[in-house]
Amino acid sequence: MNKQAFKERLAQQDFMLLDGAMGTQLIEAGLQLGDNSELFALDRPQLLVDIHRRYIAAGADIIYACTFGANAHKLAGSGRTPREVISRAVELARQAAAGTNTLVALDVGSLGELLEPAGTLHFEQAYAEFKEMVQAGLDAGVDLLVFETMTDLYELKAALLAAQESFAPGRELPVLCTMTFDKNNRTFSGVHVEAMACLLNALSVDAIGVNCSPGPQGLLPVVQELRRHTNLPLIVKANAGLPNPQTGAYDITPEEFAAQMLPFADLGVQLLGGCCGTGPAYIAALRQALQNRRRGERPQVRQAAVCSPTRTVYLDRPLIVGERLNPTGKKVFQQALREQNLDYILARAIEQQEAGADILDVNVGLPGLDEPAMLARVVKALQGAVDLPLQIDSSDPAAIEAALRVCNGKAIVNSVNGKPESLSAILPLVKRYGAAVIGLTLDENGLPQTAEQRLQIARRIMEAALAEGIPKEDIYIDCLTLTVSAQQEQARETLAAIRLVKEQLGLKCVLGVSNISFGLPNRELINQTFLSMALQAGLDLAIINPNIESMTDTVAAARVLLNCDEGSAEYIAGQTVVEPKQAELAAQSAADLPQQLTEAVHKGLRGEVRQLTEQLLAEQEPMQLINALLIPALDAVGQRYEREEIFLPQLINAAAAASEAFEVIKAQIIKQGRAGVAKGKILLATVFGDIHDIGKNIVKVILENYGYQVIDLGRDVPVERVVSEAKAHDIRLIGLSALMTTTVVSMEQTIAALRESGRPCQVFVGGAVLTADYAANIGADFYAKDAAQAVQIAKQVLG
Amino acid sequence: MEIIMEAKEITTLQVEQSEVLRYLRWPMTKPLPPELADDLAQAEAAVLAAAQPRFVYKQFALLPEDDVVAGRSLQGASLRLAGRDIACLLRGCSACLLLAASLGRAVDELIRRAQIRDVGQALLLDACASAAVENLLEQLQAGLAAELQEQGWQLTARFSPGYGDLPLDCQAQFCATLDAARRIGLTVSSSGLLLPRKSVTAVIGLAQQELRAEQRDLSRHNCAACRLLDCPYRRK
Repeated sequence: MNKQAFKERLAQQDFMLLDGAMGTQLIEAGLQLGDNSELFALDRPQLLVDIHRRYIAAGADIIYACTFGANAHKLAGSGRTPREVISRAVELARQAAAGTNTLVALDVGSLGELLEPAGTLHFEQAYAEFKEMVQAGLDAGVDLLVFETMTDLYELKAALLAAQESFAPGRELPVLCTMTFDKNNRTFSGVHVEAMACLLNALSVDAIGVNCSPGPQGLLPVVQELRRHTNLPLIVKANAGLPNPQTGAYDITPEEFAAQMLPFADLGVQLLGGCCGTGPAYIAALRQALQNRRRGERPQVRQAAVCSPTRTVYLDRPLIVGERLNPTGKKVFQQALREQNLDYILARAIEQQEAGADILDVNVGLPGLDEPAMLARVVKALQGAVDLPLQIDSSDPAAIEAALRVCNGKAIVNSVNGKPESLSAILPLVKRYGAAVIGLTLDENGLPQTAEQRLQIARRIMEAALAEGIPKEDIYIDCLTLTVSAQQEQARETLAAIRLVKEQLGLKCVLGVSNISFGLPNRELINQTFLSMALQAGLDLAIINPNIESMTDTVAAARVLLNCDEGSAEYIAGQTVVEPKQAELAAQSAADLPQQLTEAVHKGLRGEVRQLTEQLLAEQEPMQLINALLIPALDAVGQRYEREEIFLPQLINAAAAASEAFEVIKAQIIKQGRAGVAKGKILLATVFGDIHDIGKNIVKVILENYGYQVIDLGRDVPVERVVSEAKAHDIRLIGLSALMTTTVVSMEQTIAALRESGRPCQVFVGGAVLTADYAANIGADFYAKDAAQAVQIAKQVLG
Repeated sequence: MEIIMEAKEITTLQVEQSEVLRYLRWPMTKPLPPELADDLAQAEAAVLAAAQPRFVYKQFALLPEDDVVAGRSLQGASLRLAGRDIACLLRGCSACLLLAASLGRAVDELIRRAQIRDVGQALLLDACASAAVENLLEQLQAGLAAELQEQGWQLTARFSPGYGDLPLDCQAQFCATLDAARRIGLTVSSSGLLLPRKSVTAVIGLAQQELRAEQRDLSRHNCAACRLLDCPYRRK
């Protein structure tokens, strides 16, 4: 059945009934808890056919084949492949449905492992597992695909991409998606129902809704919220209440279930069925209850929005797009990109979120860098650090695609322009990955000088996007800011173009503001004034530096004046922030500064350390500052720790404070264009399968303080990557951490692979379950019981 | 049989400071400097605000004891509780509870994000979260004990995979038995880690007869009985 035929069938029926639980039926038939239900069912084909038949007899229009957990993960070690299990399960469902017009769905559940960054399952692995299932389902001849019991939007996205990319052209099957919700309309992984709607509206999905979760009553608020954000047909497949922990029985009867499902019919939910605890009697009761019922009307929804899994941002008021994740003109940022120092980039992201950014623009374009790989990597890392929606900023379609693919949520693509080759390269990506897009009002003839010409290009971009299937609310226009000191008349044209685009096309407008003031004194004043004028003209997305208070304040004030900050609540909250206490440093004489810095490091006062370092750098050479002040201060801290005068939290705070100083010094050195100060390079990694990385991060901070350049591969690092990076960076010392006995195994494998590679390097290991003996057993050269020992080892190996 | 802990939720967790200090390897005898005490109070508040405590448990009848191979089997589930230690714990028990509890993903996220900018704060958060999940288990255990004792059961101490010789690699089967991913969002990674990280699974034995003191008191606090001699958290 193709998507169109499914739409037609939906149009003919007020309600489509789904089946009830499979697992519950199998448990009644003797399935042991914890065993694989798909394998159990396949060993009893007649039982499986009977269960399907009973659901069909009860009135189900769609039955789910018994394939929920038939993924490579759950079948590992069973001797059966997903393809075998799925072909057979679908065949049996088909057999049961023969002679009826009941549809057979491939049922695909959550894989059961957490995806990165919360877990160790990579997006690409999840995609591959889903693809294997979907292809087997398509070959077995299912009528539609169902992804259910999802709690992670990222996992669901992997599944949807796998589905989309498995269909033969023109033979796309209907796709149904349901997620499982907990309290506060969020899933266990924090995905808000709004974000689910926001992303799925933009992808090729045919119906969305909820399954499992608490009983029908508990799902009511979720569905009420969901229908406010989507026009897609809605699904509710609810549990029979909650199970009793002593008996395993669920607590509502078929009649109660049916009665509790009726409010969903009134809300306009069209696909209804049962999940855990339900059986054929529940579906029959539901069919009975719906007999003389009409489906409730639904409001039509049109919302311009983008999202991360936990945060949906609506373009119904002026928004701030943070512009700081961009190497252009920023030497320290460029250096961070070249060194793959993601922490620096992530810290800039967090800073912007805290300063009030609603969306973050991400640009990593730098000559000599593999932009697609880097952009995808940075996007993944950002998703672990901030929860803002992202704006993917690149001129390379391959980089945009790589980033969109791994982006968790609905992003903005920055940008397409009016050139035919740009439109044809970018717009299909925007559609396929469910993004919004910024259209720059320039084309093969360059940048038009008048507002009217910009409007014409905007119209052309809009028409091309609409033709591609991108809805109007996802098209944003950038009328382009020119430097007012060079082309003074152009600022007015830009503002006029915004008005025209808003009035005549009804599209949202976006503008990079800061360009306006190049070459003029007091740029901030020009920027702020231009921003106010653009907001007045109707600007929706202001791409600015959110760390500049006057700019964020202007947006905050505009929200009040445009009546989109109710009761000025956010404005008032933003203006009553207490000024942080300024350390009384200015009054002190310069002679005290070194002493003060030492004390500030000892006490772990990061702000003061930063400030004092900046002051000292005005009169001292960076290297002198490091060698004469910081290293002795750290040594003293280390000795006090050894003597048990101070303890772990104080040691780390002192180290973290010292890193502030190093960061300031490093920035200075980079600005002066001088060589780095590193004593030697050390590779650190938390081994494959392990994500407990706090110990490794402590070691990192302290090693860096002693002047070593740490290449941090992060956590859950595959064996091969440790080997290849060691080679690429010519590494002589490697630190590995693992917390669990189960992951020490992978530490041992990493060491073995390093030895086998013939790389002349030494390895130190650490982690809660390790001991000196254990470390020797797995082939490590050193055991570091703590960070201080890691420094000793580094000194011994690298000097 | 009545539903135990019906619709009960544990929403208020307490963070036991002595636990936190033990995780931080802070000597009990040493007073906390005021800055650290402040930081710790903030970390505690952040963890408690982020925590979404959830639990699931289920009662199983135990199959009769089998002297040939150490361990016990459950009725209606394929999970095998293997090892001499769990066999000792469950001696004389005719049933057991499997339980799983988690602080949820937001706490992991809090700690992960803190690490980017401030490892020191992350360390405090991590210690507070460990103490908080411990407290969740204690509250759950106390609640269950109160109800089950009324039904005439004696409860053993709680025992988790990875204690003694109960293998860690039974986590996946343990969680599958409780359907923990679906019920509380608790998963097991391919390398056997419980995720979200601040989660615990455990067994509690149920007996209709009097239990011996070591069955009731044996717990992870009993460092003297543990073979991990170098464990940094070992109580002296």
